[in-house]
Amino acid sequence: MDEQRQRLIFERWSADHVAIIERTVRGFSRSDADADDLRQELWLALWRAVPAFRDDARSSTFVYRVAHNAALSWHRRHSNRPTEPLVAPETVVDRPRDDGRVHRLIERHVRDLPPIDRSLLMLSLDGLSYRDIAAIHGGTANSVGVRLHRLRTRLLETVREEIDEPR
Amino acid sequence: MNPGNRPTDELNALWQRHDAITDVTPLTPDAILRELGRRRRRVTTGLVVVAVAFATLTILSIAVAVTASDLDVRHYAYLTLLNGLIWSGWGLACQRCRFGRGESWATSVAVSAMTVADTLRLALTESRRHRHRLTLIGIGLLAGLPLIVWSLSLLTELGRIPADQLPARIAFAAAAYAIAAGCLIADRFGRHRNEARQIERMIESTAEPEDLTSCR
Repeated sequence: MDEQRQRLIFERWSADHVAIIERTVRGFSRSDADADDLRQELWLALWRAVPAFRDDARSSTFVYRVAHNAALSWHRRHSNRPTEPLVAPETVVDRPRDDGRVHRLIERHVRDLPPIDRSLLMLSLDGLSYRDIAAIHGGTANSVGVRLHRLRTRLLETVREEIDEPR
Repeated sequence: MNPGNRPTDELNALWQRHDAITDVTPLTPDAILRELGRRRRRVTTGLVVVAVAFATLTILSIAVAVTASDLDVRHYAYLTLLNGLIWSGWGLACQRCRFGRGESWATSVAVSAMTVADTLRLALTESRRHRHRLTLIGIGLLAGLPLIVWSLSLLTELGRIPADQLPARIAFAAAAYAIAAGCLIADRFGRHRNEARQIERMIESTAEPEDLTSCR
């Protein structure tokens, strides 16, 4: 693939799939410095992966695969690094101030999950079907469904408990 | 997207209500190419330094072998082994860095766009292969130790190393060996072992659940 075509595809994906990259960054990073580092790694991984893209595949599934593979690889290399709590920049994530607590709560519990479970749950929270998630992770849609059902039930219980607790 | 599944609907509703991502600026191709160029230069500089050091050692050992008429076969064996080790290390460095591209195997696996499970399996295979190479080099280093001892004793017997210089030569050889062994041990039993364990744990967590009936 020549560089001109690689640029064209990459620029199109940059516009269409920026949310995929940003959500992956938020799910896998635990500090602002981590987020910057991971964000750069994911964009670089996406650029390098463009020549492997076949037009018959859905670009969003492809971008999810590359982003989650690169994030898991990054996680393995950086999992022993000391971290500070993540404070998302206001310019990056636009949330209403009155009711962002539940979202932050879910985000925190998702980040505490083991990396593969975290990846599965993030894909599910992005609204992907079991079949799409299976296409990204491997395995069958049924097994993805079972795992996700358990993960979501557990997460929802934890979130409900914390919401019900007096502030 | 997963109709009829209450935890899904409830959780997704909680999540997506406040998940608007705006004003994110992606990296441009030019910025990416600049960053890749910077990484490539950094890797190439490192490899050039190592290559110069290895080449100097090789030239020195060849010069010793050519000019010293009183060396016996063990010296030649030692020099051959030493150069074998040196160039094995060099080959390993090139292999790890994908010379000129600044990519480790981990990076190239990550961007291959395979499924997560396949990528993990490939990463584990590559990690094990890398550790086996490190083990072979370690065995080579250990095997070279008696040859170094013989070489030092023979050179002393022949009078090529004065007795008063022998402790310094031994200390020098020991220091060089300690550095090589330290690097090897840190690489073989440190980061790579931890990474292999993490990959194994991730692969275990991708295994099919035993009970496939509880997703309703």
